[in-house]
Amino acid sequence: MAGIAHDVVIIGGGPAGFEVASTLREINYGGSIHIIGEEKVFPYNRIRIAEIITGNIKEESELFLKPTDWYRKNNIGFTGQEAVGINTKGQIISLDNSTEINYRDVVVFATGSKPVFLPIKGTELENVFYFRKLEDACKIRSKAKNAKVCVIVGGGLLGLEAASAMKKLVKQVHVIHLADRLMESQLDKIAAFLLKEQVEKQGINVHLSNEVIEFIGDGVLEAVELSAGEIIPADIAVMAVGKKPQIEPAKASGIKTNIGIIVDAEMRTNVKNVYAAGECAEYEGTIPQLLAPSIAMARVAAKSIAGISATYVDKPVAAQLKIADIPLVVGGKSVAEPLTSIVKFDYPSRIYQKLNIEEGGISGVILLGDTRPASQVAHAMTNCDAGNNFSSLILGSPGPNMALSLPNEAVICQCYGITKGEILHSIREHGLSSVKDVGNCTKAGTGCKGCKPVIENILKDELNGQFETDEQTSFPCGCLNFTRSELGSKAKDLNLRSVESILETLGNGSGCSICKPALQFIVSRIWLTEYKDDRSVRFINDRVHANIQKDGSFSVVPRIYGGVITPSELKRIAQVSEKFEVPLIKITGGQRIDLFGVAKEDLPLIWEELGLPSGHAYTKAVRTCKTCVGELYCRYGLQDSLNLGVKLEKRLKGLACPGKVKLGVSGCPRNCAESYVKDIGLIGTENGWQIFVGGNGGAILREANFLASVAEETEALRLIDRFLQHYRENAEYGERTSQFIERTGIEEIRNIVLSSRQDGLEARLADDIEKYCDPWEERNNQATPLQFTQLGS
Amino acid sequence: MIKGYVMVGNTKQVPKGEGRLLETHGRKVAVFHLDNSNFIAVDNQCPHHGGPLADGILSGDIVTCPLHGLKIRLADGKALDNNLEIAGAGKVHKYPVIIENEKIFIGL
Repeated sequence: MAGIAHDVVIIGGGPAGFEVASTLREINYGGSIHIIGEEKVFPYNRIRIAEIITGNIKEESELFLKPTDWYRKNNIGFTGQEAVGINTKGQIISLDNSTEINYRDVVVFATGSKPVFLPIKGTELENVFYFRKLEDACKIRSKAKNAKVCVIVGGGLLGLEAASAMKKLVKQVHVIHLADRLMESQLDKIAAFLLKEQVEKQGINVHLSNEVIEFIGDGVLEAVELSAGEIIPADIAVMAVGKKPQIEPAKASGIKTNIGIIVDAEMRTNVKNVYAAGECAEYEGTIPQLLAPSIAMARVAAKSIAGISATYVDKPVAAQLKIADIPLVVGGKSVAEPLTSIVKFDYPSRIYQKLNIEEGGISGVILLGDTRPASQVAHAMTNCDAGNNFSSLILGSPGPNMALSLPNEAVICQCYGITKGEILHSIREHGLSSVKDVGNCTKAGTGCKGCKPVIENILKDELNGQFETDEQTSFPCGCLNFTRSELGSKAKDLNLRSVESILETLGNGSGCSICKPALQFIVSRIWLTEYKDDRSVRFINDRVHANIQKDGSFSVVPRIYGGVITPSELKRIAQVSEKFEVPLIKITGGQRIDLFGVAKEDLPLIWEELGLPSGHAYTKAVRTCKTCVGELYCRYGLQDSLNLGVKLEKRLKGLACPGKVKLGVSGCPRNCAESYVKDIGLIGTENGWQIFVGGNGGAILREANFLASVAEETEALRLIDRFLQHYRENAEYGERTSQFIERTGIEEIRNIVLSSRQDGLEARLADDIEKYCDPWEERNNQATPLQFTQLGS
Repeated sequence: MIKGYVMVGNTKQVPKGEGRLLETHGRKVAVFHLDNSNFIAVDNQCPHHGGPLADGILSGDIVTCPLHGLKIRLADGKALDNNLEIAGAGKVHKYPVIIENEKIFIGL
């Protein structure tokens, strides 16, 4: 019996099949189009099915690539059945329900992949699942609710995705992986090691070089036996061991196959009017592993069908992978070890970035922990135009605005191949103002979402900052659903002058240890002195003005301006240390003396006997000014760095800031006070002073930016005042000057700080300096009952 | 006197939203004054690395250890991770508290 006939029939309702259909309509193909989807649901975003498990996505329809009425409007039909084979002569497709569909012009195989079948005993048990399709995710979700221990078979991308989703639902998750490292086909040893460490940190148990030999249970899963002999009691198991091209219906129809369905550069198979695209298609021996090449194939197929000349080129691409919230971009031959590779490995920050270089181009990439260079790397990979300057891609410090330097042809969204030019065009043409709008209009940023920050920057630049943020809330803790600027203006409008009232009115009522100190900072900035100074929201260091140590004791660092001290002060420190039996005295990196191991109740007594003010080595404030001796004694000294350092520290000491602020003054460019890695650094020259800002010598090393050169000390002090106050008024809570400059750009800061406008910056700083009082004075005037002591004392 | 309870101080000595340490009978106890005016007493030692819980930030009935940020739910003394209990992370012992005439009594 002949079925209904359509001009183009696409077998497969995955992303590639969908892309063939939508591209045909985009290029105004006029014939009828029909999709046969084995999964019986409309094409959806497979990359996000793990979110069904976690419940982050509640409705299947949220994952649909297009709403159901889109198909009607575009005259694209959909049948939810499995195609079992085609008669290429009669142009008839047989479905598994014994009906048939005819194609008049063309049939496209976009059958995608199927999970690898595991010959393990017990896979038929209840609560043992495969993880590939939307319906798998739905089944897993419904069972996971009551499960306690989950075993994931497979430590590849899919397995880890499933593991991190399951960790949100069940107490214990085990990942069993055959290879000796996770994601061995994408990651090298170092990257896999770091990933394992991070995955384990999230409470997921990883068993490498191990396989499941049996799912044990009587009808229902009870335990899993590993090849190493271990038996893990488990009530749910998910098999995510990989995928292989679904070629059966094509093979059964006499179409040439190898691992995949063999296609030429125009996506034609060896049989007339039969095309293939996506993960089921094999071009020059390669099967697309990521979304981007599948989409590219589908577009070529659509064009060929419509008679537009197009050829597919297998280019290395980089894609953002979604694993347990760990930033990871992988592309090309990432595991290979060519003669040349450029590597940045920062273990303390858990950042690993590697570019493999072959034949003058980037052949493979891994970015783990910090994926900011992704767009530029991807651009360099496909265009080979970075010259020989590949190293700057990862070894330089990528600012947030790096996308702005890319040409319009640069592909920003690797998944859908959307260029910067297309994004700009959509913004201008349709007046778009949010990343979400750009996604709806162009698809950019809707696949793996890795390029969203880049799109945000393009928007910001194009709209001069007038863009709408989406999905961004103020704090990672989720206690308040507002951006920081919204919070500020709402607190002002509603006259909210305490952390408590903000949390009650705008948040979840209770807050947490992350948002409370930040909110206190926000109210103090809005209301200056007219707010409730709530001690209970402070971290312990800021309640007792000392730095808590691992044994619960505290460290005491008195203020020693510029690191310059007198014999009598030294004697006092020695005497006090002996009297209170201070276990450890240490000279700090900031040229101070640190007394470790002091009990909380001894703090006020020690401060009293020291007779020195607080050195603020515990809080977000102006801390130390490191100095070199300068022209006072040094043979090379050009300026009096020591006196300027002391003067600077006396002026700015202890001022509350968004983050800690460290100063340094060197008397000559030999830079003995390390001015280039200070928040504010000065270098003496023959003619005066050079001022540097935004340096950082901590975990994320950053060389300071040059701010200005001045002849007079008074001018240096004035510019420093202006910079510090601008930072105090505009940085986010916890943001160091280095991050503040990265975010806002040094040019903007220079414009403001060097401006002669009467903006009141110096006056407002002078006001705060006026109001400053030494927190160690609380020894005589306690802020709360038993501030330093305990009950019953 | 309440049988089996020790008077440890008065309610004004523990500011609202904070905790105070109590050392008695060889034990270290953290006494918290919750925002809802209730008092709760638990062992002062964090089950993670022994951090002083009395010095933590209190939010509702959750205290965050000042050393490494483990969260403890004071209602039952359990360690939490994003409000989910961490399996095997341990639990702190809770002591009964009675408030009478602004005096704090703890059952040890």
